[in-house]
Amino acid sequence: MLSRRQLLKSGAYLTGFAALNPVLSWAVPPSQSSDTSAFYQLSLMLTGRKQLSQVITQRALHCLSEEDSQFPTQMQQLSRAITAAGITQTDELNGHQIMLDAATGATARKIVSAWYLGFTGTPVSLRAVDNTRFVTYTDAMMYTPTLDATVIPTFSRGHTNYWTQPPATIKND
Amino acid sequence: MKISLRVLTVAALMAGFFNSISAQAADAATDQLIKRGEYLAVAADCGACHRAVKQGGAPYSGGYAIDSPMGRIISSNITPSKQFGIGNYSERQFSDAVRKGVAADGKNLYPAMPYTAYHGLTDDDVHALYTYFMQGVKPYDAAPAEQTQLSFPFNIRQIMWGWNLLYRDDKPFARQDGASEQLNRGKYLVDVLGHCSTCHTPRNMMMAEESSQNLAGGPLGGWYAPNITPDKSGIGDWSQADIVTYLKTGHLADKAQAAGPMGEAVEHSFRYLNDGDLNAIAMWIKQVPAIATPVAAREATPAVATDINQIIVGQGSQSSLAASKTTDGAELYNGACASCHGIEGHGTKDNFYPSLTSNTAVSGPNAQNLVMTIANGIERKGNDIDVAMPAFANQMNDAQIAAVSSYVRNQFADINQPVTGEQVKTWRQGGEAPFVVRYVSYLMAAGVVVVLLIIFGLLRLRKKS
Repeated sequence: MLSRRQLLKSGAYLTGFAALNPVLSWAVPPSQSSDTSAFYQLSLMLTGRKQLSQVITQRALHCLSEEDSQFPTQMQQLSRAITAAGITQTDELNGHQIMLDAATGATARKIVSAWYLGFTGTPVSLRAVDNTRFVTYTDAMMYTPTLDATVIPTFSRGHTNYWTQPPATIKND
Repeated sequence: MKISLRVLTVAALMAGFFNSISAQAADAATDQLIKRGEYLAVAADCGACHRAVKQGGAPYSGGYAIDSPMGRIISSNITPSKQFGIGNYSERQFSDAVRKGVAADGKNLYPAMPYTAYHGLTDDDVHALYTYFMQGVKPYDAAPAEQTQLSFPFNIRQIMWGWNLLYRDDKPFARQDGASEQLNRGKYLVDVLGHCSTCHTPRNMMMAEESSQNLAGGPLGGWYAPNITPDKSGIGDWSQADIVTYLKTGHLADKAQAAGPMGEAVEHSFRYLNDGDLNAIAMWIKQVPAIATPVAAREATPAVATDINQIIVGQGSQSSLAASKTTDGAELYNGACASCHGIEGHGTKDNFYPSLTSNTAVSGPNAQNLVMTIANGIERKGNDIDVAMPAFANQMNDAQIAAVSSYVRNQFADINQPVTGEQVKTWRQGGEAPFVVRYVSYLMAAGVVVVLLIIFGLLRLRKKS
C-alpha cells in the first residue's frame, strides 16, 4: 500500500520533474523569464506577426537551445543589437549590419528558419538520424502564403488521383 | 398430284415462315420478360443476399452469410440448377417461396428472406422474375459450402409457422386511393420490391416489424438503419432530389454517406434503377407519416478545438514509431483520419472525402454507424465514383476505436457521450441481442410450466369426474 507520506513525496518529485523537464512544460505558457520573453519578442518582430502560438514559441526555443547551448546568449545579444539600432520592422534588417555580422545574422536566421520550416537543425539526406528537431508541421509558416488555394502537404486536396486533371481555373491562375 | 405437292410444299414453307416469325416474336417477348425480370430482381436486391461468398462468384449462387441475432443464416443457391438451385421449381412454388416464405419442399424460410415485404408482388412481376431466374440466370451446379445452423429452438423451422400466422400479411399490394400513378409506384417500390422497412423499421420482441413505427429506424447487426421518415429527426430536410442523388451515388454532400448494408444496397440495387423509379421512391418516402425519434444531445457550448501542436510533438525515437498503444482520441484522429478528412474535419472541397462536421454518421443518435464505419471501412460503387475508406479494425483495438469515435463526435458534432471499448466490441459482434434471443430459455421454461399446469388441471378434472 502507498502510505500518505510516500504519496506526498512522489507527488512533490513529479511536480518538480514536470516543472524542470522542458518536454513536459511545453504546454505551459511562457514564464516571464527573460529568455522566453526575449525569444517571443524577437519572433514577433522577425516574422512580422502580432501574435504567435505559445506552444510553438516554447518548443522552438527549447529545440534551438538543445541544438546549441550558446543560443540563449546569442539571442540576448541579437535582442540588444536590435534595440540599440532601434529596429522595429523586419524590413529594416535588409542589408543591415546586424544581418551581415556572422553571429547575430546567423541567430536571426535560425529563429526565422524554425518558424518557417517548422524544424531546427540541418537535415542530412539519406540519413535516419541528424540534428533536426521538430517544432511544428501544420503551423510551419512556409505554408501560409498558399493556404487559401492549397492545403498543407499530406492532407488531401481532393478526390483520389485528382492531380491527373489540370485545375479548372488554370487559365485564370 | 404434282400441283397438290407443290401447293403443299409452298404451304409448308409458308407455315414454317410464319412459324419462325411467331417464334421470333415469342422470343422477343420472352427476352423482354427476362429483361423486366432482371430489372425487378435488381430493384428487389436479390443479389445482395444470394451472392457468392467470394467476390466475382457466380451470380445468385448463394453461400453468403447473413448474421442474424439467432445465428448465421446462409443464403441459398437460386440459380436454375436442378440439383442445387431452384431449377425444378414451378412458377407456383417460386411464388410461394418469394411471397409466402415456403420453399418447394414445404420447409419454412426464415424471415431474413423478406417475404413479408415481397408478399405484395403482383402476379405479373412474379411471372417476370420467374422467367428471368429460369431463363436469364446461368445455372450453378453446386450447393453453398455452409449450411444455416441456428441455435435451438430457432433451428426448428416449424416454429416459423406460428410466427407467420401472427406476422405474415397475405393481403396483396394495396394501392393508395387518390394517389397518383407515380406515388403508387413509389409505394410499391418502397414497401414491396425495395423492402426498405426490413432494415429501417424497428422490430418488436418477436422480431417482427412494428408497423406503427414504419421506417423510423432500427438496429441492424452492429449498424443502425436511421429514421427515414420526413421528421426533423429523420430526413425531413432532404429534398426529393437529395434522396434521388443519395440512392444513385451513395452520398449527399454535408448530409450522409451510404456505408455497410446501405452501401451494398446502393451498389447492387439503387444505382441501376431508372430516374422515374428513383423519383417515385423519393416522392413516397417524403410523404410517409413523420415519426419523431430521439436525437443525440448537443453541448450548449461548442467543444474547444484541439491544438494539433499539443498532440504532435515530433516523431520521438525510432522505437516509439512502432508503438501505437495510445488511446488519445486526438492523436489517433490526427494519425489515421486527418490526412483525408482534414484536421478540422471539413473534408475536401470537392466533398470526395466528406465533412465530419455536418455528417449524420457522426451526429447520429448513437455512435454505432461511426464506430462500424471506422472498424469496417467503406467500399462502395455508386453511379459517379467508387468510394473506398480503409477499415481500421486491424490497426486499432476496440478501446482505440472508441477513443477516436468519442473525439470525433465531441469535436465535430459537440456531442459529449463517450463511447466505451465494450460498446465497440458489442457492435462489432453484431449488436445487442434482441429480446427473443436473450430470453428464449425463460420463454421456453414458461411454456413448459404452462403445459404442465394444463396437464395438471386436466388430471384434476378427470379425478373429480
